[in-house]
Amino acid sequence: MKKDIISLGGLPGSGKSTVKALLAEEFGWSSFSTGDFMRQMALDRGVSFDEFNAQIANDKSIDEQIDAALIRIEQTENTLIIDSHLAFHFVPSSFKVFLNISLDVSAKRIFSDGEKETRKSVGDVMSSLEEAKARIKARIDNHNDRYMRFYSISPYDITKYDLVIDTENQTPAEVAALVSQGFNQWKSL
Amino acid sequence: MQRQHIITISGKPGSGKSSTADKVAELLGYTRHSSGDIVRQILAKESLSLAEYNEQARSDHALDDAVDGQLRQLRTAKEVVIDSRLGFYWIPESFKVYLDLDIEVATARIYNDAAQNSSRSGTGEGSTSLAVVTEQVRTRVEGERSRFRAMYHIDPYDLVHFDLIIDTSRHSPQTVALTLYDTYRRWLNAEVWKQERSAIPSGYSFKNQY
Repeated sequence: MKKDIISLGGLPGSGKSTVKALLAEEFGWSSFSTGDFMRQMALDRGVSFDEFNAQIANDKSIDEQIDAALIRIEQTENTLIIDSHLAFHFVPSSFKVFLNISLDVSAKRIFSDGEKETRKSVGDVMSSLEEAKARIKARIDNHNDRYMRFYSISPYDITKYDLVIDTENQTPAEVAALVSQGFNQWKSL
Repeated sequence: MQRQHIITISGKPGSGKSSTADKVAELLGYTRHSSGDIVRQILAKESLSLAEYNEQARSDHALDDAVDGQLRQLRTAKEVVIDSRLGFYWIPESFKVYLDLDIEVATARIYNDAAQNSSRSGTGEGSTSLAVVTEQVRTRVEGERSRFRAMYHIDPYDLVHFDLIIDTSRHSPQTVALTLYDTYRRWLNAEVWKQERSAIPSGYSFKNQY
């Protein structure tokens, strides 16, 4: 039985959280974001987001907390929008969407996105475009290494998803419309 | 197994070798090389159009030799991405990728590309009608096939040579690049490797589908 759960994975800066918010509003569902979850943890510890990521590179307990939250969702939730790298793995009953973006465009987006509270409060703000690119690349490498080591899976293996959208030339509203359309098709199959 | 940190991208004209290679290089932090750029440099220097080059290359192998010489030198390079029809041949120990696509999509892409991309239109690759482009693509593929067969005894469009095959008909270079990147990382750590065909899920890679 297919549930009303949509999970959004994707590269940093691909617009997961913006699209998540749009879909949550459209469907009237609540949402869960592992990125915000982790940014909150960084805030609680008083470190920047990249420092936090470096700190937990060898610390599985943080991942275990996130995993537990996702597993609970798979077992108990029926309607939800999730924004998470690992939801495709832990919430297999969801409609799994991957949002793609080139490093170049992602860097531009995150660089100009520095005003957003969720990023600003944890120092997730870049001082130059080059720095943004280097840090995004480091984040991708960090995700790849961690997930391969802990779970033997790659978070960027798009063949594991139901739908892949290149968000480069599209507005968040257009992306949300495609997700919504894909979800309805998936439900009816 | 110690793998060479070299990726060679081959495939059909219009399959997005160049853009895909750009994006893979970006994701990995590798250096970019392209036989297309080498050819275009020669074209500019000799004031030839691509059609003239292909015609001349049939009988005069000096042009191909110049390109091959530069490609062969990359065999000792580290952390490079090369887009070249014959990359797999000159650097057999590289991660060898083939980008496939439908001939109709190939034609449409080259046609649309020519309108915007000056590096192609400057060399006579841009033309006025879709039918002309279709014929050009066909002639080019067949010309290359027979030329490479005569020169190297290989068919650059034979899929048997490759480690990874991706059908790019319905996906953007960025999506193809990410799949390539992800598979390459697995290849680096694999003891043995069997040819893979990527199964990218249905998607809306392009804003405007061809």
